[in-house]
Amino acid sequence: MEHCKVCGQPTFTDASSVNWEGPTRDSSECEPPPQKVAKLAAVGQLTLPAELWTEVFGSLSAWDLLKVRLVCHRWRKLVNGSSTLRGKLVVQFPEFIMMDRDYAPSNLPPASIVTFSRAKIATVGSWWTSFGAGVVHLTMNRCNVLLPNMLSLLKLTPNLKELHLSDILIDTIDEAPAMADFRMEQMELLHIDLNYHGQNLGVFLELCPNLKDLALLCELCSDEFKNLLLQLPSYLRKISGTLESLQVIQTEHLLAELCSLDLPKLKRLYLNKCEARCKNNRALVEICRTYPTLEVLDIEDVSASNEMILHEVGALLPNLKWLAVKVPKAPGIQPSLEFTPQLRHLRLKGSTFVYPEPTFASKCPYLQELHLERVTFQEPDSLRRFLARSPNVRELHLEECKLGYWSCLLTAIRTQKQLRRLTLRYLTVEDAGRCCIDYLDNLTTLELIGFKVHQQTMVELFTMGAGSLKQLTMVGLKDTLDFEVVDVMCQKLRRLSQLTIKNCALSKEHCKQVRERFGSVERLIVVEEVWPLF
Amino acid sequence: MSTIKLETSDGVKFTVKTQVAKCSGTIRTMLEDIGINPQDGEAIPLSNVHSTILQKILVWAEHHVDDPEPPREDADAAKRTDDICSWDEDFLKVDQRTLFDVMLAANYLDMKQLIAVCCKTVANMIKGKTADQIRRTFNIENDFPPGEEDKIRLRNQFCEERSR
Repeated sequence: MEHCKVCGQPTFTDASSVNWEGPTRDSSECEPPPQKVAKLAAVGQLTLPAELWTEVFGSLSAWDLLKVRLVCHRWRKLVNGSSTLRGKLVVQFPEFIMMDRDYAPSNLPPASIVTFSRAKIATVGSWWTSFGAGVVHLTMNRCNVLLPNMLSLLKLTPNLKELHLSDILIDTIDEAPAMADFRMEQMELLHIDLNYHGQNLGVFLELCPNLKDLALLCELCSDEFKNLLLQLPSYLRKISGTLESLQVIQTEHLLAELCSLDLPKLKRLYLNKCEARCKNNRALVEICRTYPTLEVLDIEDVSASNEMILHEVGALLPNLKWLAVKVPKAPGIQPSLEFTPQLRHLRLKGSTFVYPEPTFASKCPYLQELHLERVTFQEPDSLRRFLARSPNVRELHLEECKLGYWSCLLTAIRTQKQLRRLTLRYLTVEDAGRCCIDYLDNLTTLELIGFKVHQQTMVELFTMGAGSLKQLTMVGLKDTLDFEVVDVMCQKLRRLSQLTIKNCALSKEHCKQVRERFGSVERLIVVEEVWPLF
Repeated sequence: MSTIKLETSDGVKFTVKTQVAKCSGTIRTMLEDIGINPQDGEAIPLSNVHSTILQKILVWAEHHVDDPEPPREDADAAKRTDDICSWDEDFLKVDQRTLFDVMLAANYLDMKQLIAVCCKTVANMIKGKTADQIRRTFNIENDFPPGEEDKIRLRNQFCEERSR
C-alpha cells in the first residue's frame, strides 16, 4: 500500500483490488476546491502571533507539518523552534540500508522520532553525533547489529527516552559479554518484543537505571530469552524506585518473584501468555495483594481459570481503572466485579462464555470503554440491563458476540447517551422487531464490519447518529446497502467527514450516488475487491 | 442578575451579565483579583477589541456559559480536530479576517476554549493541502529563494507520518 503524496491517503496498487471510477485518489484529485483567492488578496496578509500559530500547528499530523515547513521562513522557524512540534517529526530510514563507513545521509530534518527497519548497522558514522543528540524516541525493527555498535549508537543518543527493539538480532564478536561504560539516565521506556532469539539483551537492562516502563515479550520463548527472564527479578530490584509499568511474559518463577518484590510505584501490569501453562492461580491473587495500588491489570492471556481471581480482584484493587480479563469457560460461573467502582475500561474476552444474569459489572458507574469479545447473552434483554448500570460508556466495542435480536441491541445502545464510538464486528444477531430510535447526540464514529443486517436496521442506525456522525466505516456488509439505505445515508449523514465502504456489494449506480453526495468529505474510500477466479 | 459594562476600542459600551463576562480570564482576573467594582457603573475598557468582534464573542460566551470545566486531556487527545461541536462549527463559518480577529481578541481576553476551537478550525484549513495551496489560503508570500524549497523538500523525504 502506498500513500498519496498530497493527502496522505493510502493508495491501493494491489492488482487484486479494483476500484470503480477511480476511488483511490491520485494527486490531481486531492486538490481541494480553489479558494477565493481574489477576495483574500484584497484583505491583505493576515497574521496571528506565534503562540497561536503554534497551537494551530499542534493539531496537525507529521505529514501536514512537513508542508507547513515549506510555506515560508516564519512558519518553518515556528516548527523548528517548538520541541512539541519537532517531536512529531519522524525520520524513517529506508528499509535494508547498510550503515557502514560510507553511509552519510545529508539533509536530515531535526527529528526526535527515528525508525530503522531491517537495517544493518556496521558503523556509527560521525553524522549521527549531531543528529542523535536530538533523538528522543528510537525504534529498531528487524535490525541486525553488533553489540559494540549498538552501544556506541546509544552512547551518542544521550537524550533518548524511549527505545523499542523488535525482532532485533544482536551479535557479539567474541564470547565475552560487552559491558557498557555509560548509563542512559534519561531512558524511561524500554520495549523489547521478539519472535525468537534474545541473546545479549541483558546489557540494555543494565543501561537504564531510571526506567519507568519495561516490556519484555517473546513469541517463542528461546533459551536465551528464558535466561533473560531469570535475570529479570534482580534487575527489577534495581529500578524498583521508578518502575510504573511492566509488561512481561508470565512464568511461574516470575509470578512468585513478583510477590516478593517491592515496586512501590507499579501502576500497570500486563501479563502475557507463555507456552508453559501457568498452574499457580493463587500467585495472581497474591500479586494483587502485593500491589494494591495497581490501576491497570491485563490478564487476558492468563490461561488459568479466573473465576476465583475475578471474585477477589475487585476487593484487592480499589484503584483499578483498566481491566482486561478472559472470562471462564465453565458455564454457570458467575463472575463478579462488584468492588471496582473506579473502573473506566473493561475488556472481557469469552470463549464460549454465556452471560447468565445482569449483575456482572454491576457497580461500575464510571465505565467509559467497554469491549466485549465472544460473549453470548442468553436473554434478549441482558445487554440493556448490563449497560443500564454503566451510563457513561463512551466507547462500545462488540465483537463476535451473540446478542439475540437487533431491536434489543439497538434499544440497549440508545440508552448510552454519552456514546461517542460504536464498533460492531462479526456479530450474530437475529432480525426481529423495530424499535423507536433516539438520536445519540455524541456519536461521532460508527464501524460496522462483517455481518448481515436488515435494511430497516441500517436505517435505524443511521438515524441514531444523524446529527453527529463524522466517521463511518462499513466493511463486508453483504446484501445490505440497497437503494433505499444508500438514499437514507446520503440524506441523513450531513456532518460526515470520513466515509469508508469496502466490499459491501454496492452497485455501480450506488457507488456513483455515494461519490456525488459525499464528494467533498475529507476522506472517501469506496472499494470493491474483485477476487481472482480460479 | 449582576451585570457589568465593557467598552470596546471604538467606544461602544456593552452591558453584559457578569457570569458571561467571566468566560474571559482577563475580565475574571480584573474583577476578582484586582477588585474592580462593577457596581460603580464604570465600563471596563477593552482597548484591543472592536465592537463587531466583541459582539460575536459575547454570543459564543452566552452559549457556552454553562459548559463544565474542560477535562485535562492528554497530549494525544488535544491533537484531534474532528471534535468541534456543530454549534461552534456554524459559529465559525465566517471570513478569515473575522476568524483571525476573533482569535486575537480571544487571546487578549484569555478565553482558552474559544482559542482551542478556533485553532482547530484553522488547522482544518491547512490539513491535506500542498504548501502552495496553504500559501494561497492564507495569502502568504513564498519567501524562500528558488531552490531552497526543493532543498527542504528533499529533507522531507526521510519523514513519514508517525503511525502510532
